[in-house]
Amino acid sequence: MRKRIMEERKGPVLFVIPGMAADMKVGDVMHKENASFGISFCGSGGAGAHLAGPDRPGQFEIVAGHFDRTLRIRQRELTLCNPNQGDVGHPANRQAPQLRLPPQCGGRPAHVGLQPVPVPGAGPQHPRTLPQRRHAGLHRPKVVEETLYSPAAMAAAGAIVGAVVLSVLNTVAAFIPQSMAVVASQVLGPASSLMMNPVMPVIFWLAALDAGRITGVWSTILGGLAHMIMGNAVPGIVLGILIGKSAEEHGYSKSTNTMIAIVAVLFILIAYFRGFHTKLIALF
Amino acid sequence: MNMKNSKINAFLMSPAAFPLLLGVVAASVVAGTHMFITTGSGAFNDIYVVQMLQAGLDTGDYAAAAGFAAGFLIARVLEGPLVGLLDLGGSIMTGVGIGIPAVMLASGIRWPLESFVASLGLGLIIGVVLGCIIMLIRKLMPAGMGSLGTDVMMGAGNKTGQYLGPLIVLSAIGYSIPAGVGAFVGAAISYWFKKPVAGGAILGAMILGALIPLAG
Repeated sequence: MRKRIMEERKGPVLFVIPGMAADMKVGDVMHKENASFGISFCGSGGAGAHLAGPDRPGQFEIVAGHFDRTLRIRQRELTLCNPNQGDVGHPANRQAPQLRLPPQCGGRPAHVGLQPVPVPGAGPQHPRTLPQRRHAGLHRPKVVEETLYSPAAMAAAGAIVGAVVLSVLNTVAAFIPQSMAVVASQVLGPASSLMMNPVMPVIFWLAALDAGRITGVWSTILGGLAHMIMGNAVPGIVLGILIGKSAEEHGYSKSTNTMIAIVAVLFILIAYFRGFHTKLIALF
Repeated sequence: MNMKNSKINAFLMSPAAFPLLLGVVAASVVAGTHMFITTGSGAFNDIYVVQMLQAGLDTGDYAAAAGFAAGFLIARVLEGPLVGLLDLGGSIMTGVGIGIPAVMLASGIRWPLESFVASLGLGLIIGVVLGCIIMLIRKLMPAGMGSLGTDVMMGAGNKTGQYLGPLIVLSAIGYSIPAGVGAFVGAAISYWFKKPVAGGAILGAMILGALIPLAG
């Protein structure tokens, strides 16, 4: 799941989390390694991994690292790059405040007491650590950082913001004249029913079909069943993506089969409570 | 003020806090649904999902809201513990906020949703139960199940929102000519200023549609 890619010499240790949706795992790895920061190379939630191919080995999206106290100052100067990674040049990454990519990306790594070490299976290109005094992107104000890592402080801040926003929104809603509210609901009614059916099912369905053969087949079957039983295909497609992806990643293992069994029971229960069986019986 | 390692933070980061946090979230969302049912504003959700509940309130047929939202709840609650990421929009806002109330209203149980305190309590109970179910599934399932397509679903979910703007314009044109003109002009202005198209479309339709009330 994660690979240690740098030899520890003077302190910094970097871990790469390879593969699709690595951004989902960064928290776990950071926690496990007691890392001081994690960087996502990909702003699009996993699109980077889709670029992987035989000519582009060593795809990765997230780097988690930790530094000892003597290297605190260097941490701010680090710029991480992987010269051959297609995703690195993405405009979203260039704009990301935490990660600026210098033109030297493709060049030789400068020496900060680290040398890249080969990672089995990760191909010839590895992230390098470069000192970049111009790009102090990893620095964040201390107070904000402390708030971000304190759930209690975040909860308090969120509660205040939420209370204010909610009061304002609901008060404003009360000031909208009746005639306008009538127009709004008359316009929104048809728009939202179009949204629920067929727009949402189609979007989810197409996304499932794009996600690969197994996922596409599961989503198509469960989506069709869900539309028949629940009146909307979306929940079925979501479950199909879940089962299909699980089967793709782990095969029909015990956990995948358990999930299929739970879903089957759910469908039967929903069909029963919505009286679908009477419709079926009426057919014959 | 160093709260980073305080006792309250240690508790908030522990697994035991999860059902409680989910209970608080669900309580507020169900209370929002109560506000929507009694006063017509306050529900926490996308316009089109709330509209589904409104259709149920208007016609007494909650089948669409209950089927869609309750199905979504089940799918998301099953997904959450497996991928380690709970989609609050699908599970709590849609599932608990719309789906469960729709099922209750359809079965004629109105009182918990008509009292603010009862709706808070109802939400709290639902949230705590869901939190316990999720933690239980997480304990039973082997770790490291991977992303299981959450990226696919999130991509689709984000795309869904983009369709609302054009749909509102089409629907406004169907409603009346002034509302239609207001909708596409509003949408165009919104788009020019890099704001969500749906917001401009509905504002434009409301303003022109209400000022010039002639049915198309």
